[in-house]
Amino acid sequence: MKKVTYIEAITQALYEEMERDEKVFLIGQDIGLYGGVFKATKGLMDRFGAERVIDAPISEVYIAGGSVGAALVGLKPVAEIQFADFITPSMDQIIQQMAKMRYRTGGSWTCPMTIRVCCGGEVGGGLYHSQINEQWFFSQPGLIVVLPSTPYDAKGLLKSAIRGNDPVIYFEHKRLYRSVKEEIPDEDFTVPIGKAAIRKEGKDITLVAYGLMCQKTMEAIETLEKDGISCEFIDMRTLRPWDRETILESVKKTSRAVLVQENSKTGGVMAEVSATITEEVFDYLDAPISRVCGLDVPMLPFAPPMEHFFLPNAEKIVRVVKKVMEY
Amino acid sequence: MEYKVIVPPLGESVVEGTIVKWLKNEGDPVKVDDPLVEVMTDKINVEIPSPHDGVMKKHLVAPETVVEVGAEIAVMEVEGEVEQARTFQVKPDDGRERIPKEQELKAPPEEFVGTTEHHAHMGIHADEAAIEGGIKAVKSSPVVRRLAREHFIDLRKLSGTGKSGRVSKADVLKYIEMRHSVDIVRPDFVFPTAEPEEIIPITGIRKVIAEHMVRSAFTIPHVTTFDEADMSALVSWRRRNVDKIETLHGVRITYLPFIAKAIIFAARDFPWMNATFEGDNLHVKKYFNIGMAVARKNSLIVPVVKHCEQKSLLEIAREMRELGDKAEADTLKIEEITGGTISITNAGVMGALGSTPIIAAPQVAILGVHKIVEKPVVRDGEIVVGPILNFGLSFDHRVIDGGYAVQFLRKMIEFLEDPDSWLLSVI
Repeated sequence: MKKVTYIEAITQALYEEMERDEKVFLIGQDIGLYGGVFKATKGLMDRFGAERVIDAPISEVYIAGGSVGAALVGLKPVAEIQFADFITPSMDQIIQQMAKMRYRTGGSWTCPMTIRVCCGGEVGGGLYHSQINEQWFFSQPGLIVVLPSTPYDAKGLLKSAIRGNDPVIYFEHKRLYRSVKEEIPDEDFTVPIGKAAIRKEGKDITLVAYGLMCQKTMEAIETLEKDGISCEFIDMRTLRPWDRETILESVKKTSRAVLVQENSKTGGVMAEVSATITEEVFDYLDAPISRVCGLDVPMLPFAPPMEHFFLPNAEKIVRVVKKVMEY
Repeated sequence: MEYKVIVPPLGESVVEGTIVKWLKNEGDPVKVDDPLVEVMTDKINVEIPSPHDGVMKKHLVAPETVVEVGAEIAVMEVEGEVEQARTFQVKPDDGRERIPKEQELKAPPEEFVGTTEHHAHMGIHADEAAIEGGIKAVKSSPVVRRLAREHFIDLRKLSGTGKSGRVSKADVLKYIEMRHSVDIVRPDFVFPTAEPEEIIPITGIRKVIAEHMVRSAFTIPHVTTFDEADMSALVSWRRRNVDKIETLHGVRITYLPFIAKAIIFAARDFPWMNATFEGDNLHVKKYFNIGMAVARKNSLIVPVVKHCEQKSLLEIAREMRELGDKAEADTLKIEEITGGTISITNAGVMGALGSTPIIAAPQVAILGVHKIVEKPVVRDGEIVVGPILNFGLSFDHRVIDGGYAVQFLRKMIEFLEDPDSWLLSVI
């Protein structure tokens, strides 16, 4: 067991998977010689060479489209999109080709590939380096979407993504890269896709989050538990297909739910979770399901006080949970 | 030589008892027939007599232990050679269904709690209008509405602690828990003074009664039919004679001996009412051992007046009084509380106007007798005041059909309403 950061866990997963399977290769901007803007691929070109760690031109559509082609001829591409903000040029390849390949060929072709997408705010990154944009992919059938919140999950989910037979959008939150550290096993392990983690059991209310919002929620829970509110906390980890069973069973138990999401409220992941809870376990609810989300503005502002105002945090979560508990 | 003391047969259907206390300590000299040990059985405490002279050498079981009939419980030293008592086991196929020991004393299983059967057992019934009315009238959430329907709750009975008086899930769960907790028999309940509640362990005879009630209630599909008797004739007969009889015979006669006789007459036409249902057989009895429930301080016991068909009203009355006295003094013998063929329970002495009594298995019927009250009755087209007794007859619907029981009760009432037709034959 060794303590590693979230980004070290990602590097380890890439290294180990490339060692394990020579079909695995990396492609992305500045990932080779420079080792990645956040150094996620540091040292990999030295070890595996330029043919397996490819520095791509500044063309997201090429990175995604080239990977789709490589996947179709039997390779296992792991592409990197440097910032989720810049993923839009590649959308045609991701949505029209990658996501639909298995379906439109009746299962004859698959796209076994992973796109790592660096995402998320609270880094002072301003308009174009802070977006998360997970909801675009969350709503697209044919894709698997994951967003780990711990080093253990970062490594285990990336391995599962690379080893799987279907396209995975692997979001990695840049605020978590070096701010979380934990001991993870030395031996090989994976984290199953589609399975949420119950981070804490409780009986009064169910809190659901993913990514950076897990930290905010845990912080809020410390305050709430002091006030005698017993919280159950679920980290979704996989957004698509999300773990309905774990969340629904928890809400059946607690009868109350607060859902936390970094992105804007409208049309987000938690809108879907909330609607499903109402559809499936309405008869168990004791209060309205409430959400704590980012504001509905075009993008995350640059000025730190404004960024703070935009994003959900522990105080906002505590306030909403208390309101729901008083209902 | 060493002689092993065993638990002797303790009476019909009794298969085990609990050691209450040892009456001979280890080392005590013992004479034949000296009581060795007190054992509590389902209904009564018995003392087991010593079969020989000798010395109590060793107790094999401690007080509070449950021992089966036939089990070894002590070792005595006796002089000379005597025949060892043979240990034995009560045959499970003695005509009664043997319920395993652990099952007998267990609370209802968890999955049973909250079910329709449990509610019925607790006397909670689905009053749909009340439930839906409550849901409409009270601000509540989906889970509260679901719980109200599942647990038959009229939400208007709860005080909500949620926002602006809203009834919350926690309020309902608290109410359900409170309601379940009152489902315990509480002998001598005293209103608490300082403590918000008093916990009374249900043990001994009380526990045995509880267990019997549950067994009867859940084995036998009970149906209770009600009918009223105009007691005018009997009331005036008794009024005229009760003092005279007491002076002459030393017993103050009640209505129960008359009711016992009416049962016997009615059973001529409806013999299945006087029977026991054992295994797959209905044992229709040609004699009438009538159990008469007597309330004691902490419990209830049903002494049996044997062969009522051969006894006069006075004899029955006398015997009832004797058995009642013994019950009060706790000196009833096993044979005085077993072997009943039909039972009477008189909630009327306490003032009850109706009840649905639970049958004493394996009998198939029990007659609930209630208070005689003055009521308007129509006689020859005129409304007059008459003394009315409401009977509740519970019967085992597995073997007795509704019509059969209803007609039996009517027939019995006809005899009570016209005592002149039979009184002379039973005095």
